[in-house]
Amino acid sequence: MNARINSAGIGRPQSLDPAELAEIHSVDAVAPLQKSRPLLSEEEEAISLPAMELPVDPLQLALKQFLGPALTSDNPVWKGDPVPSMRGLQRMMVEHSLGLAEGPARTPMMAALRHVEMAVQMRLRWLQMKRSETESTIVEGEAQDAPEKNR
Amino acid sequence: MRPKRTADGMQPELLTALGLVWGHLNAYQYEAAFELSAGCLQLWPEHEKLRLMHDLAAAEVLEPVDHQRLRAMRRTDNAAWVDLVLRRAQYQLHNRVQGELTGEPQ
Repeated sequence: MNARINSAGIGRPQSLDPAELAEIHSVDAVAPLQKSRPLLSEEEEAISLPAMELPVDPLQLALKQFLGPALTSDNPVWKGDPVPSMRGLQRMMVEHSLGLAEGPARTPMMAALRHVEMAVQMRLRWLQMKRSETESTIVEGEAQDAPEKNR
Repeated sequence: MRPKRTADGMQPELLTALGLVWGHLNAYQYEAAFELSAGCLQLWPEHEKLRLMHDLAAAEVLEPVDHQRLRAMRRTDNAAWVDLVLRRAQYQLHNRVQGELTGEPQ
């Protein structure tokens, strides 16, 4: 199930073959390339809307300063397709649990495992939403281009 | 089987674990952060950042926090974080004592 979602390349910018561009009648059918703010060039920054104002909690700020961006907002777990590495973490947890005595000794690890499983389930739902979004746009575009076919 | 490593030499599973725990803390889900980090600490008992995130979550869910160990591991680069955890633990302890005092009048 995971492999199928990976191969769809969700979360990565879509590369377009120039030959295919000729076939596209409306420009807005092309999905815009999403970039996070630090990656924008100066011109792009100048024409962008101001950054969304989120309330900044001093605790969140202290956390991020201590951990650094690589572990927090740049962490692959919050970008792209993190499911394989989460499955890897689960495998490590299960292997560790099997080394412990049966019963209460395994309880904390099982609780942790459940949280990772929940995270995996939520990512899979989110990937499905992204997938449906791209697929449904294509269908809409086709319907607009060829309305006479439907009649 | 040797685990693959990312550019900065960290195991991808550890990076994933740290990111997930941070996500819970950042969303104020202390119970989840506490349970998840407790499990991850069994895999990486020596990891300081994981340990300190676990300590903060523990303070928030009123689980015991080892003040002595925290003071011993305090250095300039983690001082702000250790102080924050100690403050939170102190604050929660204070609240609990207050609650017990008002709950059981003499």
